Amino acid sequence: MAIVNEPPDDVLIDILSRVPAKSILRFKSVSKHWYFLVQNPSFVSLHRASARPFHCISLERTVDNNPWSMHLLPDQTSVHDLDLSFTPRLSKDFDHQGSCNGLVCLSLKSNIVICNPATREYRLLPQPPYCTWHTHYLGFAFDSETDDYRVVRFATPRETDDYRIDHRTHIYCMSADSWKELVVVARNHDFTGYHHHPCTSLDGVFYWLSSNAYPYGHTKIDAVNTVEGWFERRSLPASVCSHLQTNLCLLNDSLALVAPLYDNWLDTQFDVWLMDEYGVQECWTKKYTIGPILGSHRPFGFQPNNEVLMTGCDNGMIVSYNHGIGDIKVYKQLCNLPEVGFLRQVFQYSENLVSVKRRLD
Amino acid sequence: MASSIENNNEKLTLKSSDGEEFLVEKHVALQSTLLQNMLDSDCSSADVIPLPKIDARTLALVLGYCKKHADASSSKQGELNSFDSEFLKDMDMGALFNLVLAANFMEIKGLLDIAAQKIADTIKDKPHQEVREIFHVENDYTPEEEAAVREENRWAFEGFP
Repeated sequence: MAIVNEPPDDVLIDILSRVPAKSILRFKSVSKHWYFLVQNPSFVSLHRASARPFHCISLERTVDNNPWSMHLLPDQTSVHDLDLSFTPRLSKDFDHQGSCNGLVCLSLKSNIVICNPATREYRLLPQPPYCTWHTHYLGFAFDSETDDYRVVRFATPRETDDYRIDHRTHIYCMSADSWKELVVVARNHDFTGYHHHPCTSLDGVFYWLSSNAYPYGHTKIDAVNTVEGWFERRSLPASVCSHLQTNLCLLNDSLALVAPLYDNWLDTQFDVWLMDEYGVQECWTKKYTIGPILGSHRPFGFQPNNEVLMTGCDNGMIVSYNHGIGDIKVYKQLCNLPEVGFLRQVFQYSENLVSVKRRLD
Repeated sequence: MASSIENNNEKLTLKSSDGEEFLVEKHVALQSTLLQNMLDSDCSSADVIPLPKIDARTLALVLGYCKKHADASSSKQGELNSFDSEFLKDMDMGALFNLVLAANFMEIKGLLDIAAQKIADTIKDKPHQEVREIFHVENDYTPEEEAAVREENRWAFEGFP
């Protein structure tokens, strides 16, 4: 049964903000008025706010043709692949560099793509300056101050883990569709390092772990503040050893460091440290200890319910571990994906109708 | 100042668009932010409050929802959730829209949420032509324009007419 009259716009917007993105794209064909309603930035924001958030993971696989992939975890018993096949030249060499607000950043050398799986749109970014240089770090983040998406690229003349080498930092802003150089003042150290983790961003600052030798070198935390323009290197908490399994991730809008307690391949124990406030000396607080859990596990990030996601001791197993109340440990298998080599990142994914295509003049 | 017990027993009268009057306990009426604001701004409970946009059938449904939620505020959330889904079950699109419009006007957020979500869930897998009919929208595209808009997101139409 149909309704008697067309509902007022505020009610219509309320209803449509609850409809999945794919249906919205079809409903643009209802009328010109509907088309303009759902293109409106305020509708896009409202839709994003009401979209259901999913846990999402990116994986490196041990298969040849598709060495990395992204998966949504709608619940603890199923896995959905996030379809990125619409992106251009998506080859095995493309790498996942980060996700925020439902957008995904991919790169192959100096070719960088921002894509939106909800609308199947993508944008190949203009070549960054110094494009022949080695992309040392690439970060992707949303800047709520300017309501804009940013890519940060740190480039060095060649692939190296050498100290005190020349480097350039450039920022790409999606609204301006251009790169500009960021003059980064090294506050307390020269730029060095060898990365082995994707960047984690929080409030306009990109963080990553940096070691002076692969894989067990002396590990530090590097930070680049893209708003204030400084680069800084800080030590890990005093009791944390440099270790391949140390990982930096987000926990409840704080930067968290997950560090193995000691080398023991029979069971797993990790300390979780939270950074209270960046720039303050001794800013780490030990939150709690994960484990001991029988078997070797590698934690990679936290889900919104504070459960930690880990690759399991058996190939292909991903597990979540609930620190629990009153020390009750809940340990369950989240999914069993074939040939999982390496869990790269855990993040929140929710549909976003924002257009990443360039406006045609 | 009147005692709280007296206040709790207070009733007010709501009048639907088709002239039917409903006697409502105050704590039930407080589920509506609109009525709450009216009562706060010194509106006498002796007055009849006209709701010119809401017919008697819809108002009866709205007040049924409000009563359940007002009385059950301290009871289990699970019980309310099953009441909510039962409440909207088998309701046709016309009644759902009336409910959304009433909840929007009377500012009853919980009711607006469940009714708008129910409509969204119903239309999301329907072809846009059918959605156009449900919403009484006039198609102001020329065939060429409609084809062009469809082409923008051809992939989203897979399996749809």
